[in-house]
Amino acid sequence: MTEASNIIDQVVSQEYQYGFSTAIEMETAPIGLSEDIVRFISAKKNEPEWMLNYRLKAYKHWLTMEEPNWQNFNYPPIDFQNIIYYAAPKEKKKLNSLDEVDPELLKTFEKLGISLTEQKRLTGVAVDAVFDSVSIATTFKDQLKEKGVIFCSMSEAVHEHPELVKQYLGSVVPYTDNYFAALNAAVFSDGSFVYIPKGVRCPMELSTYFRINAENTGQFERTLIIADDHSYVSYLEGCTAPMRDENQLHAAVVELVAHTHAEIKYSTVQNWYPGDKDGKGGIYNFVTKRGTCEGDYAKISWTQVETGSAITWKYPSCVLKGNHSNGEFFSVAVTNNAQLADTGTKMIHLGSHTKSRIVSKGISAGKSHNTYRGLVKVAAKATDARNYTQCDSMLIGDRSGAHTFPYIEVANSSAVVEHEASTSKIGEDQIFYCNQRGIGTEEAIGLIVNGFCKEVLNQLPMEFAVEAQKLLAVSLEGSVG
Amino acid sequence: MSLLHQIKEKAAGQATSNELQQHARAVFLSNGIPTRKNEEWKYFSFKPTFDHDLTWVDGANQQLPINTQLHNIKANRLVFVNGQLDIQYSEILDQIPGLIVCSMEEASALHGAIFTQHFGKYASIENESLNALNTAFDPQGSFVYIPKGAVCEYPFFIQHVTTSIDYASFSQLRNLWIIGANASASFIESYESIGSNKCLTNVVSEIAIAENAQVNSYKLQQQQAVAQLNHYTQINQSAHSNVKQITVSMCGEIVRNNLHFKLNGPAADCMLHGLYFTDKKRLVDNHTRVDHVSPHCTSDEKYKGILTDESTAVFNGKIQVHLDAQKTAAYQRNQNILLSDKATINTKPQLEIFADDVKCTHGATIGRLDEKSLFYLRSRGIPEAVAKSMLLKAYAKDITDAIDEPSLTLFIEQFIEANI
Repeated sequence: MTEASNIIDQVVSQEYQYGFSTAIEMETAPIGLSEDIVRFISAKKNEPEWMLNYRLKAYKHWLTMEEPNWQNFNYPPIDFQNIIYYAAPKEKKKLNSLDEVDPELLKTFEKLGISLTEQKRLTGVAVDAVFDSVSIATTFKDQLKEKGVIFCSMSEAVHEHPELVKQYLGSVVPYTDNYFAALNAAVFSDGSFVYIPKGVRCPMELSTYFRINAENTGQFERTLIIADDHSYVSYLEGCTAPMRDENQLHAAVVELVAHTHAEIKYSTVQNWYPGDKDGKGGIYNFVTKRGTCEGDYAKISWTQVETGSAITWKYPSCVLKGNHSNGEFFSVAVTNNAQLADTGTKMIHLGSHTKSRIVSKGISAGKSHNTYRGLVKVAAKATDARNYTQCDSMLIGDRSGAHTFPYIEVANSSAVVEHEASTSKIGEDQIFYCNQRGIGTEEAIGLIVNGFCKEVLNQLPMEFAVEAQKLLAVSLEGSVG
Repeated sequence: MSLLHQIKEKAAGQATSNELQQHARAVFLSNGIPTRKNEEWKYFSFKPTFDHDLTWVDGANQQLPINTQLHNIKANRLVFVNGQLDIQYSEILDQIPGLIVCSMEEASALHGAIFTQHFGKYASIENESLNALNTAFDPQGSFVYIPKGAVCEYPFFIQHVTTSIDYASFSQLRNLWIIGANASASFIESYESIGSNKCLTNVVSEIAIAENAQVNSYKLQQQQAVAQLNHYTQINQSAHSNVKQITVSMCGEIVRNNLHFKLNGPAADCMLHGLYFTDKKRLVDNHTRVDHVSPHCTSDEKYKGILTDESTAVFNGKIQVHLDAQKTAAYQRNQNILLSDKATINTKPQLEIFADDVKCTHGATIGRLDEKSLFYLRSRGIPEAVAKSMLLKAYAKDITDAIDEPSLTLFIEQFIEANI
């Protein structure tokens, strides 16, 4: 296996390819957090009074809360006074079209493979690009408007659709929910807002691209997606950050609301900077994601491919309130070097005949640790609920770890709940089999890993499935020793 | 006066020169009774019981109703009433040189060297405050020392009876069994209670198993409906040893089991099976933990539950594969049948793996009796109640069949027939 270890060494030392930073004139809030900073952010965005009050309430509540410590990893304490809570590229004047966007910014997104200019746009995908604390541009807005779909940045939504924001903001993840959700509610800067009206099938994939650029900043975006009766939307988020020696905090909140017969498909390809080989630097990805199936027959599906971040700590969840509603969670979490991931889902069955399915694949290489933590809860009134959970782990290297903490709480006898899990490593026999047929060790690992994750990758929209496969290969190539 | 208050008074009143006891008292007093905020006690706490007015009893002469069925088993028999050995009912059949079977008091007085070498060395008290409480006072219970190479012909039948006839009571029990290299033995433990007042029994068992030894251990928990039991068992295994542990929880208001295995030597092998029945508003909580410290060890865990009425069952199985414990094979399953709409099951099959060349699987299922099977039986003229009990007996069969003592298997099957 020495040849294999050589290949590993080569590939593990591969650099994070999105690690560049953009030199652009920035406008930032003073460092630290206080009531004044909350007011500063709100004022920067010209927010109405009710929004400021919401932020202040959240901030006051945050002050009374303690940082959670039940997670299955340790991280050095975060100094919340040493973070810049607002950073935006300096605006010269009000933008009317894309041509007026700073070319430096356009170049940045070009380099990341996200084209904002009309001619090169990915066909059929509308993109909202978020650079540090603000949304730069949203494409295909007009086409979407024809159908009545609202797709804009959160700051725009606060001004243009206050009634919707007022009704839904915090309805799924209230600011009292947890420490980082409270922090987010107080200082959130931007994010995407989506509203799909009754009976509309969104004509294209919606997508948000998040980019952290400035130093010492934290990114706190907030996404809110509402699918009204009988509507459908597929949404994708992607993210990258430059390489820096300090850890940066990313504490986002995502809320989904699906009404009767509506379906929301939310996919994430997360590739924040994971830190270097020794675990120096990288993003702390502490995110609260939750969706509610408000109406009968509603469906929410989460798909995530987690390859980046020094620490990933998130549990995209579904609250199945409507009868016959359906929740799904598909996840691939890959950790390498010193990365840590504590991720999974919560499926709360409240309505009758609710169904949920969880497929989680964890791959740990190097010195990394990968944890699946999930909750399946069937309430006393949720008759005929059905859950199937599968969580598989693959270990690559003898210093990596794989952990599983599945909580199952059932209070109704008609429920059928199954949980299956396994842990294994890439068999030497499997690699030998491939080698024998002329497939190099490197490719063989890719083949085996892709096969291991296939169930989840198949859930991604086509364009991104290809990207995710490549990402997997880069994160893992040759890590077998 | 609340039990907790009595314990504190007793600790203050009886000074001790024993360092272990001093340390245990300090740990208990600083940690207190674990509450539901503690992750290991997420679903219930003994706190309300400790606030109750229970009287601490140690030893009482009571006329015992003999459980005839189990008393037909030919065995080395030890009967303890509230922790005190009752010589009248106890007898030792195996005549093996070096074999020691006695009470804790006798062991510490007559076999001091062995006793101090093992006592309190296995069950941790640091994060287990009820263990600390148990260790804080003079131990009462069974002591078994099986010398190297001894093959015991008869099982050790250890019956612990707690009484709460005239008043609500609290008692503490302790078991220490040491099994020498190449020895072989089997144990049957039965936890019973007499009386209709509330009672709480806090038990700690330590079992140390040397190389190549073979141990079968069956635990029956059949206390009265008012009795509460907390049982912490620590089993440490050396290389190539083999242990089969089967826990059957049949009754009691609250039963909490902490079963910890530590596989210290390579190629140690353990099997931990369990069966639990809950009805009324009772609760059974099984917390198990298997530490795979050495390579080439296997563990096979299977817990099955049958829940009716408004009862609750908790299962938390943790398998921890330590660094370099390569070639570990660990299997874990938890299956539950809910027979009523108000029963609740909370299960958490948990894996923590720090080595890469391992095979670990775990699974949990929750469901009800298969309606098709029930229909099949009923369509052949079998009444519903009989059909149900047939199906439940079949469901429990892979656990009951693993018991090598036929009269014990029969006893459990008859229990299922009579009670469900």
